[in-house]
Amino acid sequence: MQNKIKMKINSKKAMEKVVAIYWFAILFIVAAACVYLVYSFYGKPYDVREIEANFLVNKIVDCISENGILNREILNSPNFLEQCHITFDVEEFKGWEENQFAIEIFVCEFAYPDGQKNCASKLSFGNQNFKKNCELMSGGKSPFCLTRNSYFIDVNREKVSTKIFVGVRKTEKND
Amino acid sequence: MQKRGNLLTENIIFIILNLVFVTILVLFIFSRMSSEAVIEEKYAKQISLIVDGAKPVSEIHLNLKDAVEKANSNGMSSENIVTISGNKVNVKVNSNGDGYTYSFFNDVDASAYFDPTSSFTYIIKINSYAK
Repeated sequence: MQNKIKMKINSKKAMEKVVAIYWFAILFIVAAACVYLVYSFYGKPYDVREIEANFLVNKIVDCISENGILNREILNSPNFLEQCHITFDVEEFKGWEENQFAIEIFVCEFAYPDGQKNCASKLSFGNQNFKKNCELMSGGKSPFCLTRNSYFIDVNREKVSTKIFVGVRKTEKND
Repeated sequence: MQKRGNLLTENIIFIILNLVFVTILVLFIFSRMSSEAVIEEKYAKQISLIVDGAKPVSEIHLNLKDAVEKANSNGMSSENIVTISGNKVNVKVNSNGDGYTYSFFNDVDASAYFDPTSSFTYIIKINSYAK
């Protein structure tokens, strides 16, 4: 009888040890998961390219129109960037040159129901290779690309539509 | 009686060890959240986006409490945290490092200076278009 009780106590102690080992294993897994998650979240840079691209489109729209009237003169200007107060200068970082942005503006005829037809590229600046990359994927390791349609009237009071494409690379600092 | 005493001590030690473990994890997470690199990147990008969205003449007041506290704890003065040269914003909270630089596309003459009337505020001023 006494032997049986001793055996029970021994097996209970052995169980407690096994449980303790499992407990420490769980603690270790939880700690490793926390460290991994924190590093994967804070180790990545903040991706602000979407906001940047939206600001750039807004700036272009503000520049090519005044009170809703499209300014065709500025679209034909070779100094478009200077006139719109846009600069593509970037900081020196991992071989970045002035090829971190891309702009292309299309002017289209206004048409129902899609809003536009017969779009023609009016001007383009920056790195136009973005477009090919954006067709595959936007964001992440690829440049962030944005296309926005805007509607205006021209000086003859005719409806005009524009399609503005903007690409922001800066991949190394945003992904 | 002796056995009960042992059981209580074991449980207390177990709970204390667990609390120590959780505290270390929480401290680790907070240390990463407020690391110098994260603060510098956050404010450099925030300021360059502010400038991108601003028109001359405007003045933006930005609270940089955690950056100022970090810089002061590193022995850096509050006046040298943010610098804007050309179209590049640099935020530095440690005098030994280079800080973090991010550019803005808005071609404006912008400047940043510490507001002496407040403890943690920087003033970002968009004076005029650059050209």
